[in-house]
Amino acid sequence: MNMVLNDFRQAPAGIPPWMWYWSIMFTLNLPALFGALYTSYEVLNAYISSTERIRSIDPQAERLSFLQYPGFFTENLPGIALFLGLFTILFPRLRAIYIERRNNLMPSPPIKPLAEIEEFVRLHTPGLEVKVNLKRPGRIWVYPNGYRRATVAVFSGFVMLWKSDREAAEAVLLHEIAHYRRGDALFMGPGSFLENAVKLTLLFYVLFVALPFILIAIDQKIQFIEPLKKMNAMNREISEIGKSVGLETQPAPSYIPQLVVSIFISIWGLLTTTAAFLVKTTASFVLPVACMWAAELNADYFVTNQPRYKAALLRELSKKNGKITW
Amino acid sequence: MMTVEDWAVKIAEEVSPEEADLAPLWAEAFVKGGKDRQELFAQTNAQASGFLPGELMPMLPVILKALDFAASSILTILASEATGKFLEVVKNAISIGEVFGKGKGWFSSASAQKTEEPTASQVVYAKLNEVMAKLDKEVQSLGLDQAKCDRINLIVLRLLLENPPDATQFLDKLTKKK
Repeated sequence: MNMVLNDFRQAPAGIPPWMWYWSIMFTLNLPALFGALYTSYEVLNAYISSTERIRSIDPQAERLSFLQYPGFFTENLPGIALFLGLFTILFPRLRAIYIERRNNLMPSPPIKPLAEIEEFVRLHTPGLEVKVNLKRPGRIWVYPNGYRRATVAVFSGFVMLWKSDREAAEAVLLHEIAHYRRGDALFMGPGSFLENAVKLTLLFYVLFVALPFILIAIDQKIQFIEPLKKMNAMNREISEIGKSVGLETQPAPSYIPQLVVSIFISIWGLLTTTAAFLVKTTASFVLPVACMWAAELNADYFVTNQPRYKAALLRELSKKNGKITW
Repeated sequence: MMTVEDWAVKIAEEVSPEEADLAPLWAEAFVKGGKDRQELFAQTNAQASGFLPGELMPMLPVILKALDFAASSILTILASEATGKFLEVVKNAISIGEVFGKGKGWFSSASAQKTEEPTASQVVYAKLNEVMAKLDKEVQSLGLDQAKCDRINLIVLRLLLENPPDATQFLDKLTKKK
């Protein structure tokens, strides 16, 4: 037992815990985030007062403008999402309850390979719990159930790997144990802050930016058609009058090309807004994602530091259908 | 008399031994139906895999699904008086690997010769073809090559044909809708 623990203790430090550094830097930078938020709020107020002035003249104008209000915070969205997401670090127990319910995780039944897995975990990291869902396909991952405690979730695929390629399975398990030892579990895995941040941002964008944009565009087109039709009718009338008095007149233009152009402009506006949003979001997330990748590499480094697992880990990593996620 | 769980273990031991420990649990979930059965085919949480690629897709739940789908055809074979003949054909196919990798129409050479009065062996081949095609529909979802799918189907058929009365009860329980 001591030999196994010593192997880990003697392991070189590896990559620094960038995720922790990033979190500290992000927290220190929060005043700037709130400052930007306040600026957006002021711009929104200016917009509201200008639309109110327009509506005092024409009550029908900008009637759906209120739908655009959340969109004024689009720029701040990735930052807000990361800020809210960081709260998952503060409440690991709540996250554990959510994950366990969602994945039907429960204590291990008395099955031989699970007893072996639990023994292996105990040997390397006594503080790590094991919970299972043996009906669901999949491997393993680690999630926090306290600030300094974590659970490894085991699925049926991992039990199969344990039986078919023990060394590879141990390498995979050590990878997760390494995450736990480095405190990565608080940041990473299902229900983690980055996963939530990305989901929140995209959901907010769709609900409060893209959807209102489309609704307002449709509303404007509907409002646009009637005056255009009237103008067209007037043009025709003028043209008829002109003809009756012997003047040469141009035929009245159809309103449809104007409508098509305005629809095209709306679509173009939505596309450019979305592209700008994606660039901004990518820029905000690239650093935390890189930090997570560093944590993954670090966990692999812990495993490959024990020579007998190096080949096993490489074997696992080289398998097809790989999904590389956060 | 063998239970559904016993059958699941027996099939797993022959087809995919690393699944044998989990086989009783999966068989129970499959027979229970509803959410328990859905769980066997649930998508893995992609977020959760971290850096570790390569999912191991369990075979047994898919085989149970295939048996459920093909049960009526298999029960016809199991109820026939010529189960010995069916078993012989399946065993031969496994041992010589003749049918492996040929795609649909495994036992085509004999069943293709159409005569007005089909011979006993033509009936056997035709029925086996039907069962193989039905099993294959589900087993192919494992993403294995055709030869491996054929081998799995034939091994499962062999196990069932070796013990028709128990196999009949097994399929009855497996297909009972809940």
